[in-house]
Amino acid sequence: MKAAIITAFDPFTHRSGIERYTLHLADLLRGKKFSVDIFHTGLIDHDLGFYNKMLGKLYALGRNFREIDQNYDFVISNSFYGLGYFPPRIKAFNIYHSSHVTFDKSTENIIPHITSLKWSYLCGYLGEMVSGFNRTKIAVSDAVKEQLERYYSFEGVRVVESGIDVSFFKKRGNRNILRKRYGVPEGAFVGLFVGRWDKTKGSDIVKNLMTRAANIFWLIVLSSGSNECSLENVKNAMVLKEVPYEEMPDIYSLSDFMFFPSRYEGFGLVVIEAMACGLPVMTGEIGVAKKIYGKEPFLRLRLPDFLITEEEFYAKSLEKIYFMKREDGFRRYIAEEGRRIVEEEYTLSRWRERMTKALDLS
Amino acid sequence: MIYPETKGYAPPEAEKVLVLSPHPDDESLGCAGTITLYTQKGTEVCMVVFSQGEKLELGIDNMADVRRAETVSAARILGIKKIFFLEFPDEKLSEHKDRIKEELSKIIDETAADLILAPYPLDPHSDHKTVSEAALALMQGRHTFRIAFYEIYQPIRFNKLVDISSVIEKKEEAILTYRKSLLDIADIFWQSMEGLNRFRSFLVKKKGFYEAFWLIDRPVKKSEIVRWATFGYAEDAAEVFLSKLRVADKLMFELENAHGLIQKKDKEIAKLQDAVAEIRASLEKIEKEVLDKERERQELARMLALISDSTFWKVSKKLYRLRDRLLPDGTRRRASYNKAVKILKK
Repeated sequence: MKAAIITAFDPFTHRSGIERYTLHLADLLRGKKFSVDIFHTGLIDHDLGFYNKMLGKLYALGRNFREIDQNYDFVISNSFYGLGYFPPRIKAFNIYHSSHVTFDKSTENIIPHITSLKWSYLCGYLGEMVSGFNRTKIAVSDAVKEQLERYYSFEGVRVVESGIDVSFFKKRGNRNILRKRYGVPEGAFVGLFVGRWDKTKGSDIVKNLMTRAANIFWLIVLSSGSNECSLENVKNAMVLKEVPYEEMPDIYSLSDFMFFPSRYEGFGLVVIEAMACGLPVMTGEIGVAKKIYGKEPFLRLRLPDFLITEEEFYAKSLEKIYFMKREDGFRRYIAEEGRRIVEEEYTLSRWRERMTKALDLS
Repeated sequence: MIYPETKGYAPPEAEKVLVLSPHPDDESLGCAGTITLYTQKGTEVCMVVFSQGEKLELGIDNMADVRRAETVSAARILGIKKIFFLEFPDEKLSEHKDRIKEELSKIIDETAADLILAPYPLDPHSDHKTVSEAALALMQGRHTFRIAFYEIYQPIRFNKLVDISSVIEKKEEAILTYRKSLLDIADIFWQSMEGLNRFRSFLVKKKGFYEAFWLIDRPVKKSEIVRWATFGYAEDAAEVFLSKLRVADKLMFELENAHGLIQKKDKEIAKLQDAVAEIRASLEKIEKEVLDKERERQELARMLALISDSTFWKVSKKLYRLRDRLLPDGTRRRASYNKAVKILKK
């Protein structure tokens, strides 16, 4: 039995979220006795003359797969990366990690107009919508499912919430030793930001909050592909670039809370990773947080709606941060609750179970 | 094989045949010859008539009964063993797709047919299409029968010809039996079908009559049907998508360029606006300076006017004039006067 996975980048050389997801998927299938081939744009040496080279390569990727699809029992594509395999001729699944139309709408006025058009029309209505044709659609969260239904009129979308390795993501070591290792002040109350330093992730919000919260030490951990983060004149902050994935539990463990004002996430894996490490996370209604942060005690940490005035937003956010700083007991409680929820709902084994069912392999 | 090649002109191999006739007469027009060939060699043939064709307007009250009777007569001529009259409303079969499938499924099970003769899926008559689609849908998931699609309203692309020359009279007889069903002009319909069946000898290059079928042994999708019917001329969905994607790609490229150009122009405009603002500021400065000077000049003029209007100035002027008269310039009196003034000033 053979399965194929179509994804954008080589998961063995790129180490971002979707690539890790792809490797987990391949492991799952191999565990079910499938031989798995992964197809990515690294294997494509032409772009079919497209102006957008990446789009051309992605199309060619799917188109090439069409030549050999009969060798496989089924194919799984990530996002719209398999759009060139159209229309599918073998059993096909499409995993939606996000919806670009929603991404665009969530970042209105933040991104240039031309990027907005690309996200909505090229990636969204054309790429993602077409990628759903005659394929079983799998969303990584209820939020993404709802977006796919709303914008693409998809029906029968299956939801397989992502999971993490909880034996890896857990509270680690002595906090002071960890802080010393990374040069973080020992006695400081440390607010953590993880991700790309751009406005879609809320970098502007973090920056503005820093100036209003001088007694908080901010640790900015930039993920790969991030923009430069220049924080001149900000004394209460420190930037770490490209921290190895293996060290992330240390980073979560040495911090006091995570501030994650991302404007859009399909799932928001870092939220779960931080929670698993016992870190209180302040975030908005994005991805999986939409579900978790709808009720107490997490509701208390939910970021206010962006629609309120800017000053009000910062005042309320600071109020929440200082509440957390003040209330040790609450911090401990939310840390325990966070870990419990992740252990119950968002482990890799839970993900495997759900994915097995979604792929009709159970 | 999706499209078996035409080999010989005998009917497709079958042990039990089920003929699907949307209305009374369709089976005779489309495949009466082939049915006869089967029944003559002892193959069991049953027939399903989906509607009684009651909508036919011929001024007869009991049209359904008449057509039903004609069907029974024709079936007898053709040797059909059993007829299933389903009595779905004429011209409205498409409104009963699910029930049609349900009923047909039962009949296929009951008759254990391994070959179904059905109208061509691209037949222009909506009822014919519905029956055709039902047969195709039931083929999904079953591997118990093949379908041979027959032609009625228009010639089809076929992959199977059946030589019916030996039974052409039976076909004529069956069609002419449908006197009322065929609007009292059954002979015209017969001649049309005879012409069609004769035309099929075009490819055989031999005198005779042939019924044409599209024989499939696995379910086909709509796109395959279209591709088949159009000799592959129909656009491939992948090609259509690629062309649309290229359009979007180009459009986005052009937009990006336009956006870049607009941004460049915006920058130039901003630069020009800065320069204009600078010039305006310096102009304002000059204007202010000119105004200040003018104000100064006006002030001086005003003061001058005040002085020249004053009594002191007038008296002084008179005194100077008197002086010049009494002590003209160049005289010794004037020199003494100047000397005295100098001493006084000291």
